[in-house]
Amino acid sequence: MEVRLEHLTKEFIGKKNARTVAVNDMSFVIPDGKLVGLLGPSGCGKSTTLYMIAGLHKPTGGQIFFGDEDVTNIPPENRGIGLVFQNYALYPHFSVRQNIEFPLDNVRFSTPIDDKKAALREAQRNLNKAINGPDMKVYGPAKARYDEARDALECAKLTLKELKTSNPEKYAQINQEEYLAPKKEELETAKIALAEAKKTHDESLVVPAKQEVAKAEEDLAKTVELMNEMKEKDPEKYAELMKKKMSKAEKDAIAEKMAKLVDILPYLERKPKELSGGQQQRVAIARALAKTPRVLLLDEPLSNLDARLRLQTREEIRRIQQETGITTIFVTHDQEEAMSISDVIVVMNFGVVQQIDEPQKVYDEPINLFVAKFLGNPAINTFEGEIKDGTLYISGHEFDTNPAYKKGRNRKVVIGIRPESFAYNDSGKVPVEISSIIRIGRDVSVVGKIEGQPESNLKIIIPSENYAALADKDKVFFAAKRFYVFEESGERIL
Amino acid sequence: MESNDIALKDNNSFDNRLSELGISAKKSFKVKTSGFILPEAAKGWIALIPALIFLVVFMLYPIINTFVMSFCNNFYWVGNSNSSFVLTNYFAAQQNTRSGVTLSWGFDNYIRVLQDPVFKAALGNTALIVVISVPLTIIVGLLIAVALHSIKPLQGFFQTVFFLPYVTNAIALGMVFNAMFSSSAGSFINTLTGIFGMSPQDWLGITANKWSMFFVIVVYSIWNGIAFKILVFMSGLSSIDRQYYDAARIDGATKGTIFRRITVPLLSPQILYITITSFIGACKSYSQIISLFSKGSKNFGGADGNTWITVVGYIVKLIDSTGDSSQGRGAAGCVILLIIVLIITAVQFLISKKRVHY
Repeated sequence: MEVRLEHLTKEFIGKKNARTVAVNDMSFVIPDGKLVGLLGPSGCGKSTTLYMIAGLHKPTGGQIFFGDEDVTNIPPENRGIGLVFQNYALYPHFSVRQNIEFPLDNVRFSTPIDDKKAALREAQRNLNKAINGPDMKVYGPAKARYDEARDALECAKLTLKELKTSNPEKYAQINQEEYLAPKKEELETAKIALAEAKKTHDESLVVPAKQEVAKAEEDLAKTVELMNEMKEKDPEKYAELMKKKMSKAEKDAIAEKMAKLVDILPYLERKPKELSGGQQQRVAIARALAKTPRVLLLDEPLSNLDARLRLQTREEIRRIQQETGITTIFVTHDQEEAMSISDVIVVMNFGVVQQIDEPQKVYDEPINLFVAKFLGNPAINTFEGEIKDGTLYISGHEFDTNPAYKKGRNRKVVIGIRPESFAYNDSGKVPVEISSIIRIGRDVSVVGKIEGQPESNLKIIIPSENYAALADKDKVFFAAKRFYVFEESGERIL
Repeated sequence: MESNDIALKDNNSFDNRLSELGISAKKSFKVKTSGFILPEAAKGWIALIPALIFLVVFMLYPIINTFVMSFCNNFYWVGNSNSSFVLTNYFAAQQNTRSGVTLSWGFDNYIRVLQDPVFKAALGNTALIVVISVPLTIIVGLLIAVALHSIKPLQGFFQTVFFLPYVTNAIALGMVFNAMFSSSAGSFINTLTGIFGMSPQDWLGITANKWSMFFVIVVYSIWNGIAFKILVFMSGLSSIDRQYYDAARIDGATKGTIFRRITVPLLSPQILYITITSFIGACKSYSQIISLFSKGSKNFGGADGNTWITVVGYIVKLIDSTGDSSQGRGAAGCVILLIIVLIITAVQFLISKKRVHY
């Protein structure tokens, strides 16, 4: 199921009417069957977005579509979603089995008779609408014309009356009959037109509506008859069709299937608190999947797990998603988590989507400084540069030339280089003052500052064969294999 | 430096120089201790002494004395019969019994109490009050608490309204009820029922029907007991994580299902606590009866003043009279009531093991 958000906005009104915009005019499409990570720092509106998709928060503006269906005003239970809460919200007094079966306990099937009854009610409602609420398309213009003509006549009469007192001479001159005649005539025509419109309306709407009701009544009678016949001849099928709740056997079968999928089959009879965090998480996923939702939503699915379980569980989530093929949206503030399992990442900040793309693309081609800084561990190195006459300088050293710099005036910019994008060779143009060098396995980690920029804090990771050459040096020029240039406002230039 | 993997540029720090001198660079914590240390257990006992004195004097001694009295066949009240039941009289009474006749021991008091038709009536009345008023109060209290918890506007106001009976004195409440249910035609309840075409009725007076009195007793018990229950339930409800309700909504549970399958089980510790305390409280019913009838501490309604006598009322009556070993029988009544309460509580605990989720 494709999920589409259109101009979604959520405002919270706090004490003293202070407004907080959690999500601001957000539009994006989550493709069918994909695992999507909503990524952003805390307070960026990602959980709010998730809860709006779930239906637990009502948006202040905008629409949410599942496929072509507008679900904005549909309550959560009817949206066909599964939600895994951050702290799982497993019912502590139920066993694992009961927890997974709880959504199924609440399923109510409608019988054929119920369906026909509902259809009859609908037909009767439509008939009422046709009779009492005139359809403005047929009826409206004629009614408006009639109203207008009536008002015009009243108005003319009033004008005459006024004239009688204010200007009796002029009043005497006017032939009343002649003055009012066209208006009266118009009113008459309008009346006839209205009557005709009403007739057409009745014929085009009321009559078919009445026919619909008659047909629905007939259908219902036929269905009742058929069901009664079936009751005697094929009681089994009758019972199946007239069933209103899921049977225990059906529920158990689903619960066991789900438990198998998430690998908790041996723990079905345990209480949630007798399980580890990771197992609880999987029970929560099983519960969310029990009703085969159209969309699976996970709120910070890994934040309550320890580091080891986190790795394991995120693979598990990926596997379950791929096995079921259900469109899955999860919220996280951990960029590594989002990068490692999502098909698509939505990076958010201050309630606004910054970038939507495949993980590697978001990393390689950040759209702005925020995205560049948010993704990557260790974080991207940023420091000051200066564009002067189409050339980019770092602390006075010429660094790069590019036609892109020629646009606009001379100004300060922000240069971003990822730690692994540095190289130590002769073409180096980034002046670095080294404060420490640490060799860790195959890498050398250099900590330092850009020359002349004491507040810059560089972290450089290069292959360890460079260690010997660097160990004694205080100041070195590094080359940048890949770098980004941003305006000071955060917008990307190159 | 070449051989070292870590090339620190700033290796001449104070820390290094301090450690060369054998001085730790970090301050360590030291706690001052006083010279004289009392053993832990002694400290505990000293702290307990005030409470212990009160417990021994006002709880332990009366309990033991009650047991002793209940098994003494000829325990007579010879002290100042007008004085109330105070500590010094215990000793006076016992000295008097000891100096006069020889004490005989046995189950006489118990046999007489259990055979007494008034005690049987009292037991029946108390059981009726317990069985009807306790479940009603708990159910109504629970529903009000859930309703209160789900509304936002005016929640504080309604909470205050429902808490008012708790801060009102039981006797005062009884007097108000007595006035409201009075037999006179202009009384509040008779006016109210008059609107619906019912004739004025004597609800509590001498001519009143036993069951109209019972109706007033039940209404009074609910009104008097509900405030505390609502308070406990409300605090329990607010400690239930909201996410359970969000999860239940997403799982498609109706309001009724949520109440039955989520709220009640998660509130079961509070419900158990309230059930046990209210059962015990209702078993001790006394003050609400006498305050309702407002005719003194030994009148329980009706022409004979015994219509709605309760077990505690029966005990009070016996202990407050002299001669014929009435104190002894009163004590026996106390012990019987204690046993009944213990049995009920034990049964509730047994049931709760299956039903209460902590």
